[in-house]
Amino acid sequence: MNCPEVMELMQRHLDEDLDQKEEAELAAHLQGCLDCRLMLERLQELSDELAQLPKVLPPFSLVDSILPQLDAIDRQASGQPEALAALGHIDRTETGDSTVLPFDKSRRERRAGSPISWKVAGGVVAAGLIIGLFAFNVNQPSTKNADMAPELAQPKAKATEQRSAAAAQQQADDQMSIQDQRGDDRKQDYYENASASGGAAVDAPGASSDAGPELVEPQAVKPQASLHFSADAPASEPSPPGTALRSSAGQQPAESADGAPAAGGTGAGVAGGGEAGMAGALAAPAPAAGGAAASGGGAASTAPAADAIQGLAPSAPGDSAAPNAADAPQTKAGSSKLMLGPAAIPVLLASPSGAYVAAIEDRRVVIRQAGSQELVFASERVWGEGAALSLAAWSQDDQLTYRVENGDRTLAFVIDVKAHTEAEAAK
Amino acid sequence: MVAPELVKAAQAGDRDALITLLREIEAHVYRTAYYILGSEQDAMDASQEALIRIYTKIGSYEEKALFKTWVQRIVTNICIDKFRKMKPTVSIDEHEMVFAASHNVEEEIVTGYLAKDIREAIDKLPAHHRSVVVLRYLQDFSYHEIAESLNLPLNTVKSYLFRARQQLQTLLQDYQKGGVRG
Repeated sequence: MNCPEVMELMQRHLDEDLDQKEEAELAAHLQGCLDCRLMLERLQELSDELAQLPKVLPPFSLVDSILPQLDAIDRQASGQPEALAALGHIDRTETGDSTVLPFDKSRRERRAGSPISWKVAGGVVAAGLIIGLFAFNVNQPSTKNADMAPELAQPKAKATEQRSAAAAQQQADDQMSIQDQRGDDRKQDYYENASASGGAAVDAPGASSDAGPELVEPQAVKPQASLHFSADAPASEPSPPGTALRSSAGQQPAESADGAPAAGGTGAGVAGGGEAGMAGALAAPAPAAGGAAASGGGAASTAPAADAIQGLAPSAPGDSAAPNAADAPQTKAGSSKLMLGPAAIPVLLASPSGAYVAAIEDRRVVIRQAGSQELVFASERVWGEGAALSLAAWSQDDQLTYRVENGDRTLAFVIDVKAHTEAEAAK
Repeated sequence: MVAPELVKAAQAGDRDALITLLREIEAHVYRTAYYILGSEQDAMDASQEALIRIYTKIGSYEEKALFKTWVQRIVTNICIDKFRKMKPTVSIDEHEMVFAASHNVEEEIVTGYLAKDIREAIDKLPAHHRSVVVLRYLQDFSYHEIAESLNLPLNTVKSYLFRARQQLQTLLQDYQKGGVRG
């Protein structure tokens, strides 16, 4: 028997497809052929490694995410006209570019493979730097990052920022793609998270049992750690970077994305705090963050930066967002519009009674207790990438109206918190 | 993996049974898609599409095939379609840049190399070879089950699998020589 013939035996040996006689033939050949022995060794090693590839799991329940589509299919089958429309609205239900909320603990617990948290992280970092940069220009703060800010306060700062933000994000994505492979066996975590009980699933990531995940943990945590900065620097709006947050209550036109007008708003927002510049110490900016920060100057925000920024950071203690949500007079803003951009923004809307806070998480609307952050209601409607969700208003009796813009259609839904029901609003 | 009674109930029009069944298979569907397509996002898209297709086509499943191979046939078909439509999006230069950067980051985590190299090597295989490897190792399918899932002759399955392993072995050996692996 020659070596090429033995190759097939070796291959089938890996799949335990040989009978006794063939095994004996293989063994006899290997006895006298070093090359084949080494080859089998390598193939066996490869095969073992393939068998140990992480049994990846989806970051959230896929079935839950397609339920609206399945309903639409059923309605279509039974001949109701709105079925098709509903299908169109949820044509893409996926994780990318979705909304992340400050206290969405489930995000953090979730597999590190999700690109979103990194986009958010990049955005948070970006916003921080913008704030720091403007604060430096406006206030001449004697802060720790004084030596860093001048460097960025160049005429070309904006271009540089964009690049560095992009680079930061890419690096983040790269890291994540590595971790994708390792996100083994966290089934437990996923399913808890998938059940939308963001508040409940706080158990340590270390709960995962296989060898892969633990090794990855330190890495997953590292980049996030950089977001814990500015523990006591006052800053403006907790709102988030990388996207345009418009407040429709008629405050300043915050959507200006080009930074210049935003400078005024940000300056005002942070002027009170001499150390505000520090917020930017670790950040890498994105242009749109200027818009977000500007809205802080006019609209709503008294929240201390510690809460604001930690709340945004995927790795931050979720509780820190609680006071933030409760204190910020966001209800005055009337309605906040969320544009789903490359990065996500949290949008919160507190009920008039102050008992509940509505938020957009994982592309759907959830309602939490204002104090405890306990999940009260999670919408079953999970929207696709193309849909823009906006929290419209609370009624006096704790009913939340929210809107979804999808293509050229706008839908409105009403959630009755007390009754735990949700329905499409009558037109 | 899925109880035959559940499949029967689902086929008979029991919607709850069908949803339960989808929940039972979603991880398997996702895993295949993830390793064939190589990204979480594409895998999510493909598996959602596959689950919807299974939902609508459950009536067409016939018991002469194993349910799990029927499911994998649906998901691999979707993935291979998607795979063909995907154009290579990064240039060689970009790819190398990314590669180098991620290695720097990973340096401390020695064991991180292994699965990553294998993943990269798998990504270099042609679609059908890759599918065979995924079904063999991620779904633990036999030659016969792979043949049924991919609608390929048994001998073709073997030749794809053997060739794929040889190629992977060569690629990984190259990594080793390049000093990439510990």
